[in-house]
Amino acid sequence: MNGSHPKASAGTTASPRAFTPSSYSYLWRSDLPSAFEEMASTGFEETEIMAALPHIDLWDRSAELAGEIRRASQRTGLRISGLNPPGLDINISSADASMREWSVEMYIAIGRLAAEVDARYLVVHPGRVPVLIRAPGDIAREWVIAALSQIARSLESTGLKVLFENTPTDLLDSGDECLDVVRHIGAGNLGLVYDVANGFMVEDPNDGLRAVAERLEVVHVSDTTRIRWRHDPVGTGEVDFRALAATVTDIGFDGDVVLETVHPGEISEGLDRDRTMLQAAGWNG
Amino acid sequence: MPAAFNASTYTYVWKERLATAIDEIADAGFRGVELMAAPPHVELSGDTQPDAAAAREACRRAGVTVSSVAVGFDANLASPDGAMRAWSLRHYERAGRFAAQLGADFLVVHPGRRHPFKPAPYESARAWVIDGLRRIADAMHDEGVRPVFENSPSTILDTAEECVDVVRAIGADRVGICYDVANGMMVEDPGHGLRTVADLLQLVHVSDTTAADWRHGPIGTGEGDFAALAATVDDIGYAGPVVVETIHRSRPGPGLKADRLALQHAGWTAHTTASKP
Repeated sequence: MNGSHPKASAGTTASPRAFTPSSYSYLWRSDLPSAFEEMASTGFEETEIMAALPHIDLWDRSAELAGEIRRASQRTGLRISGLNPPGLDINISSADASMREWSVEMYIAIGRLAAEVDARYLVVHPGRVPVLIRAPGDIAREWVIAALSQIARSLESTGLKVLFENTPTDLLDSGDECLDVVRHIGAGNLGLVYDVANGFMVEDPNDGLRAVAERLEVVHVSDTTRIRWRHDPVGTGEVDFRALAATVTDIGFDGDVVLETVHPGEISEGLDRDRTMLQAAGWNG
Repeated sequence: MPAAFNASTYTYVWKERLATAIDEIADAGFRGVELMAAPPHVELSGDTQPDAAAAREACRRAGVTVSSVAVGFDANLASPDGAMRAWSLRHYERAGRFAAQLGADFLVVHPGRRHPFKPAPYESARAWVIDGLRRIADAMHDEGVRPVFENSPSTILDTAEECVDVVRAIGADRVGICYDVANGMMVEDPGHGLRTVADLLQLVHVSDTTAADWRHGPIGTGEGDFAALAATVDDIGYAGPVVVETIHRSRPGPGLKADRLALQHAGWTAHTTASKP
């Protein structure tokens, strides 16, 4: 991964480093070691762990988690690129100070776990905005900046990158806004994840990718429709992956492409099909 | 006949101070208030005594009472994460103590939410909600505040049948039901929902919505058939408060008064302040 900024200039021959599956689909389907075995046997070298129950239980099983993950990684040869907590509960843009505090503590705990299992990054989302009544956007933005700054500062000594992800929450969900937040904080260990399905809900994801190019470390791919936000298998929605392949090449992106697809059926076949579909659309990895 | 038209302070959050909200609600002809215990009106994570004292004084001056307290949207009793469920319990217990400080009868409790892409198994989520609600009821027992479980369109325990099932699992002597007609409209016929929960019903929330776009809009701006619902409420003999829980983009005071008049026009009857028709 290119850790320097800005990223490679337009027109270079840089290409994504690897296709990396998320463990998302395996939640509530199989345990994490079994998921590791399946992903490794499908030909993947790394995984991004969806840091959610029942796989990652910091409440009841924090003491043994890192050891279990390291052993599964050593046995299968599957390395861990990063940890990604889900947006179900954690909320750094909450109007409630105790929720923001709890969320920051959770991110830091998951970040420390990420460092223990030799992952390179932690993904952080802006949080959730109430549908009916919300805090003013400028106030919520300040809460996110304060929390993200604290998370980045707390994890600085671990060598972990903290990557802020665009999420369709009606708060800091465009490429421009995400870049602005990361630039504003200015921490050296902060970067960006751009999720093309999330971006598709609020902007042209090609524009989003170009906007964040200078701090882009990871791209999340999955498919969705405009009407219904999904993280579906590649090719089952409305996302134009051929156009995105050209954009990714054009901006000189050389980081990870994470397959963050949710497969209701056979997961390994689904992830393999995602990879094949992306390659057919012109994605290198 | 319902006991009273009350109004929620929800629409005033991030718009007006709580004392102003209480004044306007009283001026709009309501006898009672459902207080949304959310920032910036109420900080549940700190000492709630000053907020409670200020709200009590505002209510005394305006001549209204707080009959129920609701919380913001972060709490999630249905979370698979034990740490989140513990945070949610603390949050509800603080809200319950705040309700007691105000002399309120009810604490509104929501089931929470499930992950949209990878939800936990239904039975696990149901068990977590029942456990949480039971613990809240235990904590509230000596406070004189009764938890009322609200139907919420959250893909977990959002129908009237499911709410009845949850409350009966804990004990109808310890927990009641708050039926929200706009929430109900997203998943069922709210008239059917009201009849289903009738024996356990202690609070009714009213606002308008469309099936396509969940809202808590002013009465008459959505697809709610409030004349039919008025007949249902009469038919089941409901005698508790009716809380107008509408969100108004412009000035809430006149909007809440218009909601009350629209409900009365549709056949809803309840005791109101005599001097403010």
